[in-house]
Amino acid sequence: MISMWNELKRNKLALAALFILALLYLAAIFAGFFSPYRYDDGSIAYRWAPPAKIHFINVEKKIFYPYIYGYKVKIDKYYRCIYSEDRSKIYPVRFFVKGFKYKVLGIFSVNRHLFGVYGTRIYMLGADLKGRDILSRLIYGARISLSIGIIGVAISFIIGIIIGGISGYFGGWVDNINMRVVEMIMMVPGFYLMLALRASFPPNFSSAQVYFLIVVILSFIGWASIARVIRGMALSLKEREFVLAAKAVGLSDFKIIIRHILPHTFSYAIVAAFLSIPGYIIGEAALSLLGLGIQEPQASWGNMLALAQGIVNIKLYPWVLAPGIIIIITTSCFNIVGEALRDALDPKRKVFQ
Amino acid sequence: MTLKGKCSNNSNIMKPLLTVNNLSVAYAGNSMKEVLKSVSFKLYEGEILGIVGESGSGKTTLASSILNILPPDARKEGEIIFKNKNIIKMNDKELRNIRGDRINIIFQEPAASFNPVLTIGYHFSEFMKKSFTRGTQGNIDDIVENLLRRSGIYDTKRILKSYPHQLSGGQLQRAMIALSISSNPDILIADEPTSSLDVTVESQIVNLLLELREEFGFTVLFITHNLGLIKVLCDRVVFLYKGKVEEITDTKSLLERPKHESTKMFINDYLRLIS
Repeated sequence: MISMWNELKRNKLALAALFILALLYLAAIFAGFFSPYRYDDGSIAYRWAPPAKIHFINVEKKIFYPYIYGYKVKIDKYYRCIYSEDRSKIYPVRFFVKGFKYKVLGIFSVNRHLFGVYGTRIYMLGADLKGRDILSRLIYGARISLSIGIIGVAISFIIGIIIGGISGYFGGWVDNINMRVVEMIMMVPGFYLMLALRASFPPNFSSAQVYFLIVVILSFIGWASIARVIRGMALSLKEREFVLAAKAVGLSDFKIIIRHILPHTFSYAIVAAFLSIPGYIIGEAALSLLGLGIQEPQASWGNMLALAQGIVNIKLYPWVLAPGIIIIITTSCFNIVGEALRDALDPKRKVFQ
Repeated sequence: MTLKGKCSNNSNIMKPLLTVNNLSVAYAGNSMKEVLKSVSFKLYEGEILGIVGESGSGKTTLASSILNILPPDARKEGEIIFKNKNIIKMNDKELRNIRGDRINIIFQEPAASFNPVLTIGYHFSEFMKKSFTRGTQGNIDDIVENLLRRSGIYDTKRILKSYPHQLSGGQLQRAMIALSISSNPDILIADEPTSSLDVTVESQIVNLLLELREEFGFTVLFITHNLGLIKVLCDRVVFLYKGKVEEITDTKSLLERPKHESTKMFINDYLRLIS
């Protein structure tokens, strides 16, 4: 573990990626603190408001702190809101402002936020069609998108490792049945299997139910490929002499699998887990994008990206692409860290150093 | 030499501890070629029975079939009677009670028979937990420490904390022997326990085995291709050639008056090699 960290430390890119991931998870955990508004708090007066321009210096009024102007709205002949800055009044950006009440870690009720303004609304990344702050929704959406990655991977790896270990160790008909099931799952293209599974459940689930359902669906698809690899490793491990020795002293099969076979697959599993988290994040995003996943007004990166489906929206309000950019950043960070881990855990690499 | 078994002369009178009757084993691959062809012999209580043969003559297969740890797709015929029960036909639970507790095995490669990701101490505690659930109560740590001392390992604390790769082959084999006699088994199968060790360590390990046998009184099935060890250790010898039992006789007559062509050849080759 320590040597792994030492190896990882040498890879600056991976460290940066790890840092970004840490920031994202921190923001997701303390979503209430980092976001100025609730994810469902919108005002129709601010629909499609552009990102606020933050000014720092105003020589005339002798201001040397960050401030924003309010919005001036004009409706054009297509009933679109055209925003411009209302230069008449200054709203200073303040830190640790009072705002809506939220709970830290589900325990303490707090109403302070990292930043905000009094008197008007601040949209760091613009607003969506209901006037909701995209930044706040991104942060609240991170809760769902980032946790689905981890929980989904955890569940499918536990299932995959156990089933793979059992089939590899016992072989014979157990192996045969398990591997045919695995092949059936791998045979169907993942995305269509996901859609079919989602379609087999009622569409009007509550958010919590949908969240649970997505995790189950993604894990159901994900365990197969892991089980396949772990089975292969178990097949070769069970021929090793220490497994034979464990058998010869009369340990039960269960103990041999858990204590003597599976620990040898963990270094592979850790790397594979990191590298497959992006798949789960994208899977959730894809379902939500199509309206089959997390439902409005709950925010997830996928259903926020649904706004970017029309070319008109992208042309007029390019900030609706923000969730897409965050998805790209997150998935590449996971890939970079995963590959760095793979290098760090690769025994052959030490030859060169 | 002086420590040889007690019962080489009157083996016919005694009741056999383990009887192998017409044992045939074939592996699934290899177009079901038989590795053992109706092998029969008896193992008497208290003796050291040597099993000799060239590489590939089925020695290790024989050892594994006595514990029934052959791969599940291997085909086994015949019977191995231990305490009036056929080991080949036993169910898993009965097998687990015999493996380790009544019959134990030491493998050829001490470094490979310990799990590289677990400490030596973990191996001991795992085995102790399995074997001492009923019966012997008492401080398991003390028992382990005693056994290790008895097996010639003195810095027990360090050894128990180390991982297999941190120890030498001799230390590991000593630990393995201590582990396998900790449950006080009736039979100890030694499957070429010294073939990966140098000569000095080899003689230490062999002497250790003999001393422990005196003390704990287990019966040894000693598998080797080293006729020198056979001469020193064994009361009787089973000579295997291509999966068949060619000769079962006492050590002296095997070495001095081999009856079969294959035995003669083996002994001649061995003598030519060491001279």
